[in-house]
Amino acid sequence: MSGLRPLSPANGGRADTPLPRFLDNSGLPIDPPVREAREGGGAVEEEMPTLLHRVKHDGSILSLCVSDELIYAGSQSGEIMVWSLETFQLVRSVQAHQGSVLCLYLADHQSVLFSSAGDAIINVWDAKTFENLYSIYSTFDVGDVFCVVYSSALQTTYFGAQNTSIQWYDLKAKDLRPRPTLTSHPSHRNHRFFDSKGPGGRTTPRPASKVVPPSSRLLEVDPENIVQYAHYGYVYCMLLITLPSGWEIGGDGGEMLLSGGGDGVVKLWTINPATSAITSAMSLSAGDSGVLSMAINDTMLYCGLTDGEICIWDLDTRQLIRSLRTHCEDVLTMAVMGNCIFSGSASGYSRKWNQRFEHMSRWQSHSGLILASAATKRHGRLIYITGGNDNCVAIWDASALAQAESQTLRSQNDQLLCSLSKLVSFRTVSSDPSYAEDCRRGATYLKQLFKRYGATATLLPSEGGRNPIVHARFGGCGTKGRNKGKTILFYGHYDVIPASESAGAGWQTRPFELTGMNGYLYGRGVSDNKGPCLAALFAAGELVQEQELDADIMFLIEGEEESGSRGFVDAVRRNKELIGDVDWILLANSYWLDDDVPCLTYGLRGVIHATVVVESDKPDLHSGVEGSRLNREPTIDLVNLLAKLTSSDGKVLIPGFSEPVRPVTPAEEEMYTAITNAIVNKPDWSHLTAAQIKDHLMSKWRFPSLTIHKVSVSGPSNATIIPRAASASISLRIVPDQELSVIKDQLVSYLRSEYSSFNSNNKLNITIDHEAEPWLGDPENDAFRTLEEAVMDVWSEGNEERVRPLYIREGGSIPTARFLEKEFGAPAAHLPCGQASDQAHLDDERLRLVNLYKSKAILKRVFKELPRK
Amino acid sequence: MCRFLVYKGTNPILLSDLILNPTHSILTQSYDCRLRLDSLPHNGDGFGVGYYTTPTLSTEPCIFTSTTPAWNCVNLSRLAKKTASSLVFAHVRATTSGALSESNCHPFSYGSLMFMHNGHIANFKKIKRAIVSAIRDEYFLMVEGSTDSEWAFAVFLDTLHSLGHSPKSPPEVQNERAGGGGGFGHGVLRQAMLGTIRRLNEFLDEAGTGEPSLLNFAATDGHSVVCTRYVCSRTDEAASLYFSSGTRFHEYKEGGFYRMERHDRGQDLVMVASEPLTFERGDWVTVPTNSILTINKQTVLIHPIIDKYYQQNPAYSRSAAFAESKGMVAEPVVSSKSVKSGTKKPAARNGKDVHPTDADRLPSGSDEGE
Repeated sequence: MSGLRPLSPANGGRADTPLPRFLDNSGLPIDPPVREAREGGGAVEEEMPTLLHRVKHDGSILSLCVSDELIYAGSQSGEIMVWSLETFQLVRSVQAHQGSVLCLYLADHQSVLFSSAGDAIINVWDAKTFENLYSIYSTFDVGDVFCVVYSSALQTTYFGAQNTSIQWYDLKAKDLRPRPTLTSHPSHRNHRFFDSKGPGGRTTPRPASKVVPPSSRLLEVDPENIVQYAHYGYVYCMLLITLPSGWEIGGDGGEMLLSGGGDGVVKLWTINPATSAITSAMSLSAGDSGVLSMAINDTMLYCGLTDGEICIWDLDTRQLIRSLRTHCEDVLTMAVMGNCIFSGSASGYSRKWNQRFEHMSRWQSHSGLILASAATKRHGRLIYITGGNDNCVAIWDASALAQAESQTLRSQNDQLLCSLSKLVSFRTVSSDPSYAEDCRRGATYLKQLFKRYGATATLLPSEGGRNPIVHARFGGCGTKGRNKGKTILFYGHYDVIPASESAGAGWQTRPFELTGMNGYLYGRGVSDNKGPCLAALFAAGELVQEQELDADIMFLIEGEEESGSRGFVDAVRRNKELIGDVDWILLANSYWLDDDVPCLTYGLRGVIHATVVVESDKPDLHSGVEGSRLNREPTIDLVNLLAKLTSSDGKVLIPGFSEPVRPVTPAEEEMYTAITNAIVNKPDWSHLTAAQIKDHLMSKWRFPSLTIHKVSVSGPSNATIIPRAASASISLRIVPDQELSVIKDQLVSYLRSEYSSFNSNNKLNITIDHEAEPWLGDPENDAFRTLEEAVMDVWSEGNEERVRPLYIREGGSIPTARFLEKEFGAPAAHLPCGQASDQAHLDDERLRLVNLYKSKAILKRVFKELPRK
Repeated sequence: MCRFLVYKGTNPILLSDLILNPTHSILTQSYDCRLRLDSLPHNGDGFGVGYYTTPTLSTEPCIFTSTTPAWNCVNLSRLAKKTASSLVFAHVRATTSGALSESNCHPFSYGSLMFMHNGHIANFKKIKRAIVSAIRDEYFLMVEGSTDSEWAFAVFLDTLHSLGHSPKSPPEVQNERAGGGGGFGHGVLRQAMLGTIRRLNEFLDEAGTGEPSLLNFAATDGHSVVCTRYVCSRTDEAASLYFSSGTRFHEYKEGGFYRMERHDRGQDLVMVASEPLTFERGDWVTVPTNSILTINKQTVLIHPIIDKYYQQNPAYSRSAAFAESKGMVAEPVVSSKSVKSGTKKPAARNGKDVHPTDADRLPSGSDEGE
C-alpha cells in the first residue's frame, strides 16, 4: 500500500512513513484486507465486486445519480438517460442540454431532478414524468456549470461554474422576479463578439434555433445572488450537509454548503435561512491539486484531487486526517453508501474503502476514465454505479465486500441471475467430447440447484457415455383433492452449441461469462435454453416456498439436445417408472416472431437429415491427365442427382411429397391474419404486403421444405483434381400429416431410382443421420388457455391495453416434443421466452433481462393454475 | 491594437489547427477582428508565433516573427502545417507605439520565458525614463525594440528577479524551487505579473497620467501560463479576453468549424484569446475584468487583482467606452445606444432599480451585450 500515509501534524499532514499494518478495533495489527497492487498492474484482486450489468451509450457518461428504482445518467451530447435499476431497460432518454451534462442531483424525496451542463443552463425535471419544470440561467457568462445542489428546506438551488462563481436561485421567489426576456439568456443574448459584423457587414449566422423553453419555465438568476471568485478555480463539486447541532460554525440544525474548486480548496459556506445567501465560513486547503470530487460520511469529508490523492478531513475539528496517494490519476468521482466509500479515477480503476478508510478492494471498472459514480442499496445489496468515457454505465454488486452487513435477503430475481451466471460458466458443449466433463459438472450443478429449492433430483445416465439427463420433481402440497397426482413435465436442455472464445472473433463478450449489457444478458446458452430452464426452476421453487404448488412439477433437462437428443428416448423409456405419469408437457425453447409481441408456439416442423454420397473405385485423379468424356466423375453424378430433387422454380420433385400436408382450415387462417395484422407495419416487414407475409409465414411453418446444406468432395479440392468421391448433406423439414417413415422411404427410393437411370459405375450411398417428428399442439386446450392468460397478465402489467399473444408455429424442430407427447399421452404447449433478435446458435447470443423475469412470472402462474383447471 | 492567443494542452496541437484553420483564427483576426471600431485592415503590422519544442532541443521557446501582414506570409502557413507544440503564444500586431520592425513583434522572450501584450500603456513616454532607471542593467540591455510592451516585459523580468528568482536560471534550478512542477511555479509567475502591474501603476501614478492603461499581458516559463485582463480604472472595461477549455478541439465541419468538446471534466486543452477563435458561443467564457488567469498543469485558476481599481460588486457594469475608443471593443449589434458616446457613467445595478437604458445590458461579470 504505497500511498497510505498517516497524518503527522508537524508537517501539515503529509508524512512519508508508511503505515505498516491495519489496526482492528482493539488496536491490534491485522493483515491488510486485500493484497495491494499498483494501478495498471495485472494483479487480480480477490474481492472484485460482481459486474451486474453494463449499459452502453454513444458518448461519455459524465454524471450519474440513482433513486430507489431508476438510474439517471448525463451524457456528453446533452442527453439524460434513465434506466430501470431492476431490468436495466432504458426507460427514458431526454435531450436535456446543448452541452455535456456535468451534474445530476435528485432532491425532494427523489421527486425532482436537477441537471447542470456545459451550456450554462440548470434544468429542473420531474424525476418520474420527465417534464421540464424550470430552466434556470445566469446573466453572467458562467461557462460550464460543473455542479448543482438543491436545498429542499430553503427551496434554493446552488450551482458552481467555470467562471469560479457560485450562484443560487430561490424557487420560493420565482414569482416575484421580473419575467425573463431572453435578452440575457446564454444562447440568445446579443454578444459583442458572436453577433458582430464581419467583412461585408454580415453577422455570423446563429446556430439553428435551439430549443428554448417557454418563458413560464424560464428562470433568470438575480445578478445579486452570486459569489464571484468563490474559488480561484473552476467550482467542480458541491455538497449540501445538515449541520449537527452544537457546531461552532453555522446555525443549529441548519444546512451548510461545501464547495471544492480547481484551486485545491474546500470551502464551507454558511447559509442565511432568510435570504438563502451564502457566506464563506472556512477554507480547507490541501495544497495545489484541484478538488474534483467530494463525498461525506458522518463528519468525515473525502476529497478526490487532480493528482490521484484523496484527502480526508474531519469537519468536526477541521483537521486533515489523512492524505493518501491512492490512484495514479485524477480522482474524478467519489460516492458513499452506508459504511463504504468508493473512489473512481481517470485510470479507470475504482477503489472501495471502509469507514476507517482502509482499502477494501480495487478493480478496473472502465477502459477509459471513470467520470461519475453513485451508490445505493437495493434488496439488501450494495449497488455501486459508475460511468466513464468508454461510453458505458456499469452497475456493480459491491455487497460481497460489505462485510456480512448485507448477507441478508437477496431478491429471487437476484438469485436467479446469480444461478444463471454460474450455469452459463459451464461449457456444456455436447457436440465436442472434450467438454464432457463440463457437461457433467453443469448437470450436477443443476441437480444441486433443484435440491436447494426443494425438489428431489437425480441424474439419469444415458448410454454410450452421453451426457446425463437431470430429472427433478417439485412435490405439490396435494391437499386440494383432485389436483393430487397431476403432473406437469417441463422439458429443457442444458447443453449448448460451441462458441468461439478467441479474442476478437465474433463475440463482443466472453461467451461463457454471463455479461449484462443494455438490458440484455449475453452468454452462450442464455436464451437456448439455460435461461428459460432456470426461469422454470425458480418459478416452481418459489411456489414451493410460498406453499402455493398443488400439483407436481417434474423436470427433464437433457444434455444432448443440440446433438439430436442422443440417448434421450432410451433413457426416458428406461426410467418410465421413475418418471411416472404426466398430464401436461411444457417447453420454453424458442423465440417470438419479432422483438415486441409475446407469442405462444403451437407447432414445430419435423426434420430428416440425410447424407448422399457418390464415389468411384478410383483414387483422386489429375484432371489434365485423366479428364475425359468417358470418365464418369462422382461429383458430376452427384450434382446431376441433386438437380433431380427440385424443379428449376424450387418445387420439391419427390413424388407424393406434398400430398399428405394438412389443408389450411378457416380457424388457422384467422390466426395468421392476427399475426399479419400485428406485424404488417413493422419496419422488418414493411416491404411485404399482408398477403405476402401470410404466404411467407405459412411456407416456413406449415409447409414442408428441402435444403441442400453443403456439397463437399474428397481430396485437396483444388482446381486440377477429379475427386474420387462427392457428398451432399440435405434435409427435409416435414409437417403434419407427413409420416416420417414414409417420407424417408420416398426420399431414398426416389434418389435411387433416379440414379439408376444414370447408368454410372460410381456407387451411391444414402444415410439418414437424424430425424424428428413434427409437432402440432392444440391452441384450444387448457395448457394454452392458461399460458395465454398468464402471458397477457404478465406482459400487460402496468399497461391499460392487454395484448393477446400471437399463436405462431416454427420452422425448426425439437425432436423430443412429439416423442414426449406420444410417450406420456399428454399434450404439450410451448412458451417462447426470447425475442427474435436473441441470436441463438450465433455469436452474441443473448436474452433480455425483462424476458427472463417475465418468463419466470408466466411459468409460475401456469404451474400454479394449470393443475386447477 | 493587437490580438493575442495562448494555447496550453496535454498534447501538442498542430499550429495550423490553432492559427490558420479555425473560422476566426488569429490569422483571420489580423484582417477581420470584430472587437474594435476602426476600419480595415487592422492588425497588419506584423505577427509572431512562439512555442516550446521538446526539452531535449532546448528549454527556450522558438519564436517566429515577421513584419509582413500575417495573411501574406506563405512561410507562416508552411511552418504551421508541420509544427506542433503543447504551449503556443501567437500575436498579431497593430502598432500603438514603436516602429514597424521585427524587434517590435511579440512574443518577446528571455531565457525560457515568453511574454506578450495586448493593449497599451497610457502616456508611455512620460514613464519610460522612470522604468529605465528602475530596472536592473541586464533587463535594460535586453530591450531591443521601442514598444511599451517590451519595456513592460523588462519590468516583469526585473520583478521576477526581485522576488528572488533569476529569470535566466536553468530550468532544473527552477524546477527544484517549484517543487518538481517545472519552471518557476505558477505562484511565482503570478506574483511577478501582479508585481509588474503594481509597479507600472506606481510609475503611472507618479507621472500623473489621467488616461487608463489597458494591460492584457500573457507570460509563460514553458510550464505555467499567466494572463491578465486589466485596466487602470474602476469604471472602465478592459480590453477583451476570453478563455476556453475542454478535452478535444475538433473540426466538426469542413471550412474551419471547430468546436471545443467536453468528454469529461478535464481541461486537456486551454486557450486564452483576445477574440474567440470560433463562433461557437458555448465554448468561450469571458475572463473577468481586472483578474489574472493562471494555467497550472491543466488547471485554470482565476484570481481577482485587488487594488484601487477593483470593483467589489460583481454585478457592477463597467463602461466599454474607453476600450472602444482605443479600438479594443466593438459596438454591440442591437443595444448600442446605451454605450455609444462614452460620456455615460456606468450605473451599479442591484436587481431592484434597473436603469432603463441598462435594461438590455448585462452586468459586468459577463461583458456581453455592451
